[in-house]
Amino acid sequence: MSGRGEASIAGLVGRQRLFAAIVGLGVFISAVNSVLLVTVLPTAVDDIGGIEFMSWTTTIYVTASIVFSAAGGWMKARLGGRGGLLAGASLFMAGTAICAAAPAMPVLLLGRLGQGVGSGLLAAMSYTFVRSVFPQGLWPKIFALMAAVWGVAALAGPALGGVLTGVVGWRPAILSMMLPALLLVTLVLAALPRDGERGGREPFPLLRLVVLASGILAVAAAGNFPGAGLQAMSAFAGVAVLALVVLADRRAERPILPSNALSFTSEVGLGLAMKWLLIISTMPVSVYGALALQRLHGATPLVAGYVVALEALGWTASAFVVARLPARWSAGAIVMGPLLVVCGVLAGSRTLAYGPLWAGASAVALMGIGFGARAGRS
Amino acid sequence: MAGIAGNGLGIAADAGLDHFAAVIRDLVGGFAAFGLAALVVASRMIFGAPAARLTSTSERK
Repeated sequence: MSGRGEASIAGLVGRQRLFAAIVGLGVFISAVNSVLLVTVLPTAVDDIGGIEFMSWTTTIYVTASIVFSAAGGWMKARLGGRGGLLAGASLFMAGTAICAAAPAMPVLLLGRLGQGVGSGLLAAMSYTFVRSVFPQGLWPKIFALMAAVWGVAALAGPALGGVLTGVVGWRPAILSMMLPALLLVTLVLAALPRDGERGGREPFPLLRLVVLASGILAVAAAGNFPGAGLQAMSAFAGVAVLALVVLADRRAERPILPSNALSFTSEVGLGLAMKWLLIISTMPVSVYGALALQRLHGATPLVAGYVVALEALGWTASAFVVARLPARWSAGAIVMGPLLVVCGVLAGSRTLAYGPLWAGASAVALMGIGFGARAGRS
Repeated sequence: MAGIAGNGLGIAADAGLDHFAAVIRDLVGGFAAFGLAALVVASRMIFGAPAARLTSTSERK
């Protein structure tokens, strides 16, 4: 979190506040969806079965989200900012409706695909929207606002998911995600003018996106194959395919990936590598944490959701603190971040499995604090 | 625990809670290896290349 930016919309004038609300809603939808689903999924699995596919609810969502974030530049050129936001919100709502109505896990996975595509588009559009409608001097303020929205979502998501699941069931809980998306559509239609001339003459980078998705899926699916040999082959093939995509993308006229994305001699490459390695290290907690808390420790969906959300809360709190530390603390924070995450994961491996609940919650919070320490300085 | 299958988890459909707890322990703990790899990358950021100063205030998982 930037020390220069303040997490408020004070100082914005007129339509800038409306634009800030649009950006905030775009981020809120993605953020609250992730914590709400964590709370709701164990109950949904109890109802419709398919626990063997539970990890795929995250895999498919994240893959679709990454791929369509990468396609965001092309979509903006072809559809415009207004059209891109409306397309993202519409696809997200369609996916949400499918999830809420799913009679079985495969249908729920289809819905997650729609949610991921919509969420990826919304994320890409929100970030490009900031750069196109706000003067550069306001960017730190808006990015700080986006970070604050994550904190709010971490607080609101488990409560919303837990209470709605307990009172009216998991399907209405998922369906509640339609409300912010509908509000976003209303604001976009009311506040943004129709897009003018669009420069979308370039062909859709379909091949690169399909290969990118294949690589991510091969890595993600590795754990589902029987035997260490097949698992290693799948993971290796996925990494090789991703490396090919990066090489091909560097030579493309319009790259879809950040420059130096896989360069271990650049700050961007190292920063991205560290970020993704840390995300992978906590993935089992994100996917199975709520399920373990409910089944092994008798936690309610609300409590389990909040324990998992402690990661996001710890992240926001420590990023806020670390960003305000003197510059000489940077190196320490960059190393301390992954160290705390490793400690949290190791502690969580024991406490999420065998309890007590408060210790598991502390381990999850420690992971988030580690993430925040890294994000505040790297 | 009937219904817990999770081929990725290696849990049999009729596995009990003890087995589920053991798999959660191993799965979560095993992924700490990726965190250790991140620690190596962090060390390289400090000692092998100029420390990053990216203003990634809004990036999230």
